[in-house]
Amino acid sequence: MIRNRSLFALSVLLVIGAMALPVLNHAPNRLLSGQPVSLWGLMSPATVGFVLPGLVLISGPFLRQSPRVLIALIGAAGLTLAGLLHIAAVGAEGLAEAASPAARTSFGAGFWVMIVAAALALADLTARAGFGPVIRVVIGFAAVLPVAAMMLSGHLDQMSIMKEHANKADLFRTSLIRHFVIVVAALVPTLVVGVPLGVLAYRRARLGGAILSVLNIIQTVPSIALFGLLMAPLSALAVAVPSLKALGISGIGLAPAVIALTLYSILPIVRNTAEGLAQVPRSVVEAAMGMGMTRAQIFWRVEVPLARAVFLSGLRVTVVQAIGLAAVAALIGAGGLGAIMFQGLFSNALDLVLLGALPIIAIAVVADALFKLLVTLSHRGPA
Amino acid sequence: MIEFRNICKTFGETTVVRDLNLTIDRGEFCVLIGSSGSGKSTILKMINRLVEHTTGEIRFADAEIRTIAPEVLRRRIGYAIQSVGLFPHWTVEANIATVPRLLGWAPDRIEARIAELLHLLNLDAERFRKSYPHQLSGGQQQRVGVARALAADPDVLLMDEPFGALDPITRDSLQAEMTRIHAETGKTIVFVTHDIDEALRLASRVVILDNGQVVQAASPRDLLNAPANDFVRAFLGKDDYGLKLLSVETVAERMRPAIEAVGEGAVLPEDNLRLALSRMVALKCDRIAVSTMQGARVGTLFLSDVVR
Amino acid sequence: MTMHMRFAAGIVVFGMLLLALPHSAPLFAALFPALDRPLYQQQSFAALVLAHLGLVAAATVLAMVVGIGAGIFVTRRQGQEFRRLIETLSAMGQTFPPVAVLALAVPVIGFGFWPAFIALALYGVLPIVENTVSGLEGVDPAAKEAAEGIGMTPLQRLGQIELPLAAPIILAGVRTSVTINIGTAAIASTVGAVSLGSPIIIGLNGNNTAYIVQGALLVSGLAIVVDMGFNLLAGQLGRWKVR
Repeated sequence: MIRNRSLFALSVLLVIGAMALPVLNHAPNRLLSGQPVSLWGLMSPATVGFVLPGLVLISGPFLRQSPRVLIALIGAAGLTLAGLLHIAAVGAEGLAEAASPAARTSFGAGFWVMIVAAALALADLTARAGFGPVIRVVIGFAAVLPVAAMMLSGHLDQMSIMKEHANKADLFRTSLIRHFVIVVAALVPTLVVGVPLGVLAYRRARLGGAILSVLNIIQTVPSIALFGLLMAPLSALAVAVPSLKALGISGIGLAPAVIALTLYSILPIVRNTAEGLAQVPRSVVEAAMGMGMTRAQIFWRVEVPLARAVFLSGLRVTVVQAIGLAAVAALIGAGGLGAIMFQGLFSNALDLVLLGALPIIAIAVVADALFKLLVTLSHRGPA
Repeated sequence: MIEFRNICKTFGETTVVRDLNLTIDRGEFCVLIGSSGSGKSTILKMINRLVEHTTGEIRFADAEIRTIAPEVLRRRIGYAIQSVGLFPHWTVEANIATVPRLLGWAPDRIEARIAELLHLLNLDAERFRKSYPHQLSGGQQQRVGVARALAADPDVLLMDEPFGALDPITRDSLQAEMTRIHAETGKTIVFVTHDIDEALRLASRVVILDNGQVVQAASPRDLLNAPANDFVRAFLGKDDYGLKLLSVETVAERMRPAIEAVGEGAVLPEDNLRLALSRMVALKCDRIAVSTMQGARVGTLFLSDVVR
Repeated sequence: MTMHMRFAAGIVVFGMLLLALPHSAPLFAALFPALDRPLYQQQSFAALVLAHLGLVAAATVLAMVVGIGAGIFVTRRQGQEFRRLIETLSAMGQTFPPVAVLALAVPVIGFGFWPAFIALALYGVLPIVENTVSGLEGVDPAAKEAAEGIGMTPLQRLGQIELPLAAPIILAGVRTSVTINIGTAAIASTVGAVSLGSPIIIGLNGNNTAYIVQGALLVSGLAIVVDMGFNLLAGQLGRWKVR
């Protein structure tokens, strides 16, 4: 009898990934397409044990869903993730020994399907167990830890994506730093301009409506178009005022990227600042006024703390959006992880695409989780 | 009309209704009353299968309700709830026409029925036909709710605390409407409430429930004159027990012929004695004239007869 | 009705832009004298607009079918168990930058129209399923109870009561989905699909600012007009609330 239908669906997915799809793809060089390697093919005395967590996981739907069983299954899901990665890594090492240095071993469709199924199972089980937000973050962290450890210790080095990374280690590091720089550089003017605008929008409803209308129009414009439309005037400006060019402000690169990112980021900040202040109960503000607090005191000691959670939620959306926009900015020469991703697309080097895209996704997901935690903690903390 | 035979209902571990045996006759105004958790709403919802009974048999017009498809059954029964549940995106007209449309009535028959119902519920057709629920007051919404329940001319009308969310004045006027509608249409009405005054005013038979079982089922008069036990007595209220007794008797039953002239003030023969007593106290007199609606004097009511 | 008029005006302006651009070579030549090809001519601008709209529309239709279907399933008794999974999936998925999802479609599917279509459809499902769930959950429980008690079948309840009342919120989800997809489709030429982003990307690669401006103007105009259309639609759906 199936007692956990969502886990059952994910287990079916896991089994399909294991049986019907390749875990690895092995090609003699970059240009030729790879030979599929199934999970069965990777089984050896060293790796057989690591399939065990997966087997426990797929038996999960048939067990009684008591708290202890759920915790055990959460552990099984996490270990399935790590175990799968380990099997792939060991398999890749084995294949590398027998082949030339130009050979490429990449993750196959089955690997991705299984990883996604196990990760979703982990998330679903954690939600079903009803843990609080802090424990959820700890579980997520614990699941990611073995993966990170394997990556950093060089265990995964025979995978093609890590080989690409080895080839382009410097570029990767500078791109990663540049990506952060773009986002942070845009956040500063966003907050400096956006928060006061948000307060203004809250205090003057009609003006606020107009401000939000304009910002909404900007938000509708596709990012690449806004980047593009900023390039022409900025390059004209750089030509007309040479000192700007000396500062690094020109039609391509950081300047249009940061300006466009700022423009896009202001809307969620303005909207959430205004909404955060709007949901502060009138009665609390009136009580504060009655106590004799000045306008400024009321703002800083009453309204701001109570608006904090909504504001942080808006900041979360802004940061995650900015991480994605910074990836697009690579197209106008701003650098960042997007540059690696697009380079891979333009030169048909698929591992390069992964090397760019996966870190972008990882950073966005981690930022989102951290901000969500921050929002939850600010709900609980002293107001 | 409706028969409950040995009905039990359990939700998981809890038994909400145990061994219920109840018959509701055609044309009755049966009020189910009890405190929260007594199972009254559950019992009501078992009639139209919104809640399925666990064991036992429920018969509706001599058929076991499980032999009738739920939707078919519900279209033969009117259903009005406390929160009304009008469809916000439909006009008053469209709301009322819901079941007739489901049953495939001809458009002109539906039109006529809507006009009839708006008139029955005292709603000005001109003003309200094309209005949307959010434009109506709470009382008006509930009138539309009752109209919607009556639209397909069902034999039975189920009402689950329909006036509980309304202010006292609106509640009072709607209670009067229900009495009138029951008299005019002769429908079987099963009405759930927790308000004993409402029950005594409306019911032809009151069924007092406690913990899913019938404590006493009797007409308001019989209930007040012979409460079965202390629970019923407590339910009927100790402080105004006497006044409740008065509210189920009419002036006509106690008045004497109109011999002498009497001071100001009058009551109708169909008014209850509680109202008459209240008037006499306010007018500071020990007798009051009894006149019909048209003004014809038909008798005199003496205070001494009231407390006889 | 100013919303109707504004939308009509928007379409007219966009139409004029579309008609004028193919003839604007002299203007761009004057603005960018250094370029020997000031006007994008590899495909007609009309064809690009159609390709862009076609890509977004096709992906949105698929996303709506899957998204609304999943949203309905998960709010029925039979599908309750999957609701948490769907909510986790759509929350997580929406933190993925759309451009990354687009790029990741290539190793799986290859280049051309299909990876763009799949990526757009996949990403577009998320806001739609999220809004379908919250829209259906937000329907007045009293209205649902009344509908059931009156004798509507579950299908009638869904079609006549629940979906119409949830429609404004579902539409907002479709609107979010379409807005994001118009933007992502503009980058779709990096994976080999033809769209209004093609002149922009080609212009970026070849340092042709005129191409970039032409593409950017058209795709911005398209995005704004489509958004106006949604505004109008939202107003129409909410008509009964306004009186």
